[in-house]
Amino acid sequence: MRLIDVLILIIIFSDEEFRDLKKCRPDVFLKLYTEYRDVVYSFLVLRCKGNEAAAEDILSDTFESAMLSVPKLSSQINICSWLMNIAYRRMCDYFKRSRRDSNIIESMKHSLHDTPDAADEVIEGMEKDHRFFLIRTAMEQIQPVYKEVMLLKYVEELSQKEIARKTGKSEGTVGVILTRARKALRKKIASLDNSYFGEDIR
Amino acid sequence: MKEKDWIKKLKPSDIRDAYTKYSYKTPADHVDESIIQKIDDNPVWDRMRHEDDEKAPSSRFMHRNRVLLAAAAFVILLCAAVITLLISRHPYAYLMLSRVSGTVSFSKDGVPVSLSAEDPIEEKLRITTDQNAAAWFGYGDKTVMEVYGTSEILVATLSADFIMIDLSEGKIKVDENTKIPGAATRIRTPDAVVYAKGTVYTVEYDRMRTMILSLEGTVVVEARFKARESFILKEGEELILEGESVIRHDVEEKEWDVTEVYRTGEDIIGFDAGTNRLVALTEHSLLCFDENGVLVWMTDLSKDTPAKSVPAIVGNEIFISSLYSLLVFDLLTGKYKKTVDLVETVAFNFRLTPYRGTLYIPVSAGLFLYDLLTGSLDARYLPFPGATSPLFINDTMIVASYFTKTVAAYDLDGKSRWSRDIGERSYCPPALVDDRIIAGSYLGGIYRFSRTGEIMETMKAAGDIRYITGKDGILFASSQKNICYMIDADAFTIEREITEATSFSYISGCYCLVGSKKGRIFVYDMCTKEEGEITLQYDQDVVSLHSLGTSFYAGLAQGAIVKLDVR
Repeated sequence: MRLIDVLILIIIFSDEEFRDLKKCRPDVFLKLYTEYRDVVYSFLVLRCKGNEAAAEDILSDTFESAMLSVPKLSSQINICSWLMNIAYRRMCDYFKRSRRDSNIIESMKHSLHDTPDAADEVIEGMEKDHRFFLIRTAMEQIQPVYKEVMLLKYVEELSQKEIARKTGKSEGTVGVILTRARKALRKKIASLDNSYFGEDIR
Repeated sequence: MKEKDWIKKLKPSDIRDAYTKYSYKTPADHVDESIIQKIDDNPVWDRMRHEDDEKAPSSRFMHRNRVLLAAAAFVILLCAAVITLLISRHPYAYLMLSRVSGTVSFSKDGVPVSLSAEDPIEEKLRITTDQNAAAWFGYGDKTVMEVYGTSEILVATLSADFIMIDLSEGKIKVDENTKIPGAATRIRTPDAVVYAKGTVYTVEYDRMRTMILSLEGTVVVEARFKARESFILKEGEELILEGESVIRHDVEEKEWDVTEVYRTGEDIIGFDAGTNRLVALTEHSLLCFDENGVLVWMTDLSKDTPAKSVPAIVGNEIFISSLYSLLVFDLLTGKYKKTVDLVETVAFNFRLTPYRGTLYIPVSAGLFLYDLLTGSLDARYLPFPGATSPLFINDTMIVASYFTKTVAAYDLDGKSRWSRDIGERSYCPPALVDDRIIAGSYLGGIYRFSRTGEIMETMKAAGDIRYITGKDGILFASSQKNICYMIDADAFTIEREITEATSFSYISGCYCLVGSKKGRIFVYDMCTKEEGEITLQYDQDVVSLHSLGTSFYAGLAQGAIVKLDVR
């Protein structure tokens, strides 16, 4: 995998784009939707325990709410985190509504337990997806320099010397950045996990 | 926020897999189209744009007065910060033992009671750490104190304002993160009271001397002798108080004094240190030095079969093993005391390990137990063929094997607790680094085990891993390929490879020394994270290292014993 593929999620909205977004310009919001749709959807699928129908409904609610909130956006905001917060709230609303419609809940339970033999495999797969999702999403929310060095080290598998050459930093600085980056990543993952996966909504 | 286990032990492979084996999911096309349609034709947005245009004049006013508003907000925030600071004036009212390595205990009615991680610590508790043990304490959420091995502390005062620790022996490192006035940690020795804010420093009390070293920021030292003089130590400065004498010097420029204390024509097999005495073993002699490096006595072993193991000092006795027997000598005079027949072949070059009144001797069939109280070989022995020197954690003994390719834990009665097949021979005695159990293998595998024997982390290095040591989140694993790997114990990744290293490293205080070829010693300062090198005037490999007091001793192949002191 080339680094360029994995860096694709570094999206910086310029100040001008933020102003346009706050002015409710559909083309700018469309860019935001295209970039973050998959992150939010993946989060919802995980949180809905694989129920894609529910995730799709909530995804739609999420971006409708986001459209109403954009005029209040601050240019300093982390868009990914902002959208995940909205998605989480819309999901809570969705399940509150669903309590009145027990069929949805039942169908979700069945989706996991219909085939008992495969249930463990499904749960294991979801746990892995959960971890990978948290790592990827946390990587988007730590300092870009941390992300860059960690991708070079762990995905591109470059040595510290090569990273130093590529980034124009000294080898020692790369070592320090890596240590801090791992710490920051662990902290961010724990914080995301706690905020969005900490409790069972249903 | 409680971190899950996998987050704490996040592996590099998890990060790689997150990018190579996982992709975000995409919603079905019809959902995507429906959302895009809503974005394109959103009536609410039309209304909002209209309202926004109407509000434009007031927005312009806001824009013009932006600076004024920002200033007002800043003043409000400043006031809030001051109020918060005043309210949180007393945030520290508890002291907790956050991490333990080795045995840390306090005395209750004269009986030692072991302490474990997360135990709260009360005022007036006297705590001792065993040799090679370490304890980390958290005071509130800002201050971390590390008490090194062979130390004794008393929690003299534990209040919301400050904590006073009496250090009567050993060494303590304080990472004082708070800058709140008055909320400081104070370390008191018979000579001085040391305190600081927002700094990192160490205080050591040894043989009637107090040594204070500022590692970061400024430290205040108040002498306790008559004049009660105060000293301010800047970063990198050290102060030594002894009686009423005060020595102050800058330790940033570290240089090592090297003194040859003895020259032999034989390999130095190993060292051990007892009270004020260092014993060195060569193939045919046993030598004893005092704390100044002066030879006290030498005993000729040429009539005995060649010595096989690193010597072990227990009380006033020295134990060494030859091919089929255990030899006992007197530490004070060097005189031969007795021989104990072992029948089995003694495992080559493993350390004899004393623990709770028993000396554990690795032999080919397992571990023989020598009762130090009765002076006789115990009838019991641990039938674990090819056992390395054991590692003890409270009442658990952990050994690796070069025959069975396993790492196993036993209780002190020899009852198995767990056994894990690692599929590779191991000549490396398991090590306890901070609270991690680490083992190495013949094929370069390095493993971290949980206390219940699960393999938590593995990594691959090159060559036969023979010796592992470490401290403060750093492991040093030495291999027969003459590489010593410096490993980040948290991420379990190799941080640095020290080449041309002999298979031995040694940690004491802030220093880790790694023996190298051709008379060189790599030095890593674990307090300041600085690296250095000592070059000796000899061409032989450094094969053994030890310390006595503040001095290090290096033994060279076929050659000299040298004393190393930080200037």
